[in-house]
Amino acid sequence: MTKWAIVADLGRCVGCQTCTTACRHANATPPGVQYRKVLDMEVGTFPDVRRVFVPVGCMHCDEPPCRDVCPTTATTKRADGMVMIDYDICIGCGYCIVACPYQARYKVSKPTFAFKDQETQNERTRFDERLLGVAQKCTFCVDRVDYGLANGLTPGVAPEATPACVNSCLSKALTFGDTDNPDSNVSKLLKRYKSFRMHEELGTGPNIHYLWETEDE
Amino acid sequence: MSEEFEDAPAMRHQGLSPWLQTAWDLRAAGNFIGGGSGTGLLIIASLGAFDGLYSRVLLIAGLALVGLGLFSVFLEIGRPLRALNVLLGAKRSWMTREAMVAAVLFPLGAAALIWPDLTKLVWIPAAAYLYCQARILEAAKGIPTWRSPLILPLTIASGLAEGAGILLLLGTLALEGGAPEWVAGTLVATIAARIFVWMFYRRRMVGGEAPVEAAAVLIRFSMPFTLGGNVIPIAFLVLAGIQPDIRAAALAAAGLAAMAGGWAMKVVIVTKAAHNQGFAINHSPARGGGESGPGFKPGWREVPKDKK
Ligand code: SF4
Ligand code: SF4
Repeated sequence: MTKWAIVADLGRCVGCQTCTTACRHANATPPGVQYRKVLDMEVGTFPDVRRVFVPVGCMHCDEPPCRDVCPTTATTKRADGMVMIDYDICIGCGYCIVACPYQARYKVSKPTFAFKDQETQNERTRFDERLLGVAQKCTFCVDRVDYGLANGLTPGVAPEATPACVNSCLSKALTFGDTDNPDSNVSKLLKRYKSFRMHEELGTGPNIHYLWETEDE
Repeated sequence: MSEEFEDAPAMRHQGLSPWLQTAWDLRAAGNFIGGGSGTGLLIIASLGAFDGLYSRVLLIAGLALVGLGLFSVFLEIGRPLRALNVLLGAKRSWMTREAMVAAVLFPLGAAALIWPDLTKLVWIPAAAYLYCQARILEAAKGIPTWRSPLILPLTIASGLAEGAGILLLLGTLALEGGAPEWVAGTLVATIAARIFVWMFYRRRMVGGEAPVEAAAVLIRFSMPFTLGGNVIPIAFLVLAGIQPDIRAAALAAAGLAAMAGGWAMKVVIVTKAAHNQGFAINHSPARGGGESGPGFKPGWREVPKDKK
């Protein structure tokens, strides 16, 4: 089987938000909607304080509570682990938004643009009426992944088949790949370095893994 | 989605700590209020039918409350024209199951208006509906105060207490000879159950199962709720027992207070103590040649896990 996941190296992420920007460009998300964002955490107390940048977004959970609550079957999980929303079925009840423990879902009812009512060229080109009044979130750039697979490319390796955020990361903090394949880029990273997942105690099985100790032992 | 969110969507994503969800507002709370009170009333009225209680007023009031609850959710959905899609998700979603039970409850309730004997069956879909409501909240895993297993008995006990309260109120206002004697006893029992579960629920939330801010909301609400929604109804019942000349008014007041207490509790849980999970890390990474460090879970009481 295949299970797509992102590995985020917390030691590498510099909090530049390039992935956030790449995502916003790729999806033309309206103001306030960020499928990908990078949290800026200050951990500890003076003088032992450290700054941590934590990329978050939809975790494409193994057991997604958003899917379990959806009364319309608009939210589904593909065989390759991607959690998707069918915008033509969703009624925008918002139940998935309160069910997601990662705050990954959004609902916007009216068209809004970066400069109020004046859309940019990108926003004009990518505007999709179907997203109004329904739930939306990160798709792991499913179109790129599917395009790559259809053309014999390896997602996570070939840029054309890789999510925009991962492609854009200038410090190589983000890696996309198949955790079910023991030889994949992500599996190798997870084998070699220590990692954790966010809110794992909730049993959701999130598929963004955070590397926290990447120095060789 | 609240208007407030639509006007300033960026604001809510700046923090790391849990923030108050805005996806479900008073309209969603309205479903739990109408559905809980309406089914509570229908269950008690239906069981009362075995004791000879039959009142179209009670049936209509119960169904109307459930209907109003459903209508208030309808007002909240983003694509109302597709509302019937809500019936597609029966395999997993308690919201679908609630809608399906409603499709049995309404025709059966309406039929009982014509054939009184059917009243004895109404409690079945009404109880199923109330159970679905409780499961809807429990399945919302992103909101710690909702996903508690105690939300199940709390929602059910409150629905029954509200229903008994409304029956007492309507009994005074609209039933000849008032509500039957046993309704006051039912109210005492359901209020006792509700306050008992509430104490455990509150303690667990404050003890670390909810974000600090959500727990603070529950702490602030606990005293007014305990007194206003639970102790005062009992006091009115006692008064009704010892002062026959104001009996009717005291029973109605007891019912009203029990109902209002449940409604307030739902407004608070759904719209005020509804902080989401927030963000957390189990470890902070080493930078350069330094050591890795402790985790971080802003907005929660529990201490983050230190480095292994
Ligand atoms: S992160 Fe949230 S939206 Fe994404 S799959 Fe998990 S529960 Fe669903
Ligand atoms: S908002 Fe849409 S995707 Fe989310 S639970 Fe409701 S119908 Fe399903």
